[in-house]
Amino acid sequence: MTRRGLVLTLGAAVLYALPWILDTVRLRMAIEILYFGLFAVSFNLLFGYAGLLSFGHAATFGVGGYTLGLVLKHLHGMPLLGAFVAAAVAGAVGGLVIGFFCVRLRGTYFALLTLAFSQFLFAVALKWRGVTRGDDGLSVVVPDIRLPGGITARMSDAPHFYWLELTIVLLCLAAAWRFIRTPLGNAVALMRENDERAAFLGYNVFGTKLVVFTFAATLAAVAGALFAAFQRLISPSSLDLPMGTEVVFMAILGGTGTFLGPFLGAAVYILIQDWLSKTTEHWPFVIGLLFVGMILFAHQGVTGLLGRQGPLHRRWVARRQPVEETA
Amino acid sequence: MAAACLELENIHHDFGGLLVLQGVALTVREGERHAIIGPNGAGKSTLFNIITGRLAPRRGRVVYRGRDITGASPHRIARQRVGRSFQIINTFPRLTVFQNVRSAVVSRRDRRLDAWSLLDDDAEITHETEELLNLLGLAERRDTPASELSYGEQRELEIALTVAVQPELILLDEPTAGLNAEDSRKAVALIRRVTEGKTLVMVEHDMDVVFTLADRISVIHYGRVLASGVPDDIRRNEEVQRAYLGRKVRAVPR
Repeated sequence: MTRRGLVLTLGAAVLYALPWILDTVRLRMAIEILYFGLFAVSFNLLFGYAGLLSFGHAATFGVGGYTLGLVLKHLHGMPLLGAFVAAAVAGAVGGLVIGFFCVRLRGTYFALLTLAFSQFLFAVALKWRGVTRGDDGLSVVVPDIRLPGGITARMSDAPHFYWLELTIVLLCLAAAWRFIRTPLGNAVALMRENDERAAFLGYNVFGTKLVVFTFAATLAAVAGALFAAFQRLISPSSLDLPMGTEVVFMAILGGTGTFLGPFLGAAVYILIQDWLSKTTEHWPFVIGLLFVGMILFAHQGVTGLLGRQGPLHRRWVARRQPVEETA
Repeated sequence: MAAACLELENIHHDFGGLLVLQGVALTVREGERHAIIGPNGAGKSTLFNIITGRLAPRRGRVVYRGRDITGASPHRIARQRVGRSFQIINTFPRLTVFQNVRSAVVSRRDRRLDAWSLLDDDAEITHETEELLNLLGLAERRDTPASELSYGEQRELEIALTVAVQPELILLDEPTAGLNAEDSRKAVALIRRVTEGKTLVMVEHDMDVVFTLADRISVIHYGRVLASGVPDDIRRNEEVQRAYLGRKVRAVPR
């Protein structure tokens, strides 16, 4: 087995073992980190890879959550996994429609139109009370999963939910990881680098951006569905601006230059938020200061600070090595 | 006489009312090296942008190998084996030289939509890319990000990207702009090599380069074709001398 394969296997083993390591409170935080991590990675497919800054990425996150909730409510006997698939499909359709209008724009105009779409969906979720229950939010009834061999995965049980979620998130991350290494994924990076030049090499700029927008929307919808299933509730706030900007912060906090940076950012964000909210009621202020600091001094994020080129790496790791050699 | 490769018919264009092209008509034959010269602001780059789909002309037609491509989008024109380079360096700055050229190879092989195979593991694409890098003298800089190349090397990469899609019609916009004499000589040799058997249209200010490379020359002046012909005819044309070439060329013995 290659070294990378070994690391991945060990990492996955540790992740699957977490329910035996963490207490319930911390396991619930791990559950939150997983879906926000997936959300942040999907955002970064747009921002870090395609160079498209979306302020409305919450739109399909919410679409996924509402789809899961509505499917489970209205289609009796629908298995949970079927509802997740429905959420992913709804996210893909939503991404295709929103992307169709947005990806022909650039920069600020792209960001503003994505924001407009998410605010539009927010208004729909708020006002269409008959379907969405408006402000109160839609309560989500999550059925258990019957596995072969008479085993039942109880979704009210945090470890069971965590294992299901971990499996879904790992599959989504693997799909995204593989996608960016295909020729089409390479074309996505060309959109960020220089979409005009790509066009003159024969790449369809609109089509390529629409593909990655739709893919990112699909993953965001899965993250939103996991969010709804865990919270047992989906409300308009899942589509609102704070949700759309939180994911931007998570991605930047972790570092948009790497694949897993945004996932790390989501983890750090949730841990900091948890710690701060226990310490001070003014925690959003501190988070805001942190964001300003990151943008000013470390816009490569945590992975940028720790990475091979980063200042912390130079200070701690690179400097230590020569000492070890002479010792 | 060889068949027409590219025909421009009565091309008009303006920017906010400012007339840039006023009825350009031009024929480029298969296999010839055709230079377009003219003073700054004559509309040369605009003409390139119209041929390659960056701009749609207000009036007129662009016909490539008998097909009307007027106003088609850049990627559709590029897929018909029309490659262009840019006056301003226009590469993928943070990708390495290898990744830059490979992206062009992927497009040439029509693998743009391949969402399954892993690009790094594709031996054929890697091999073709490396052959191109060797041919173009960029192999040593294989893993350098495009933005860290010297200016001359970036020009080479610009040409490499253009020819990596194996175009039948190659348009080069001032390929030697800003190069010193030696790099310019290298660029001319490179252009000669990679355009062998292809049709070339280039915009160029350096008259040495133009008269060395071109089989035919068209002079554009105030949005019109002032003259079009073999280099000797252009050199002798009095109107051209007055408008553009100036004293230096007038000294050439008739």
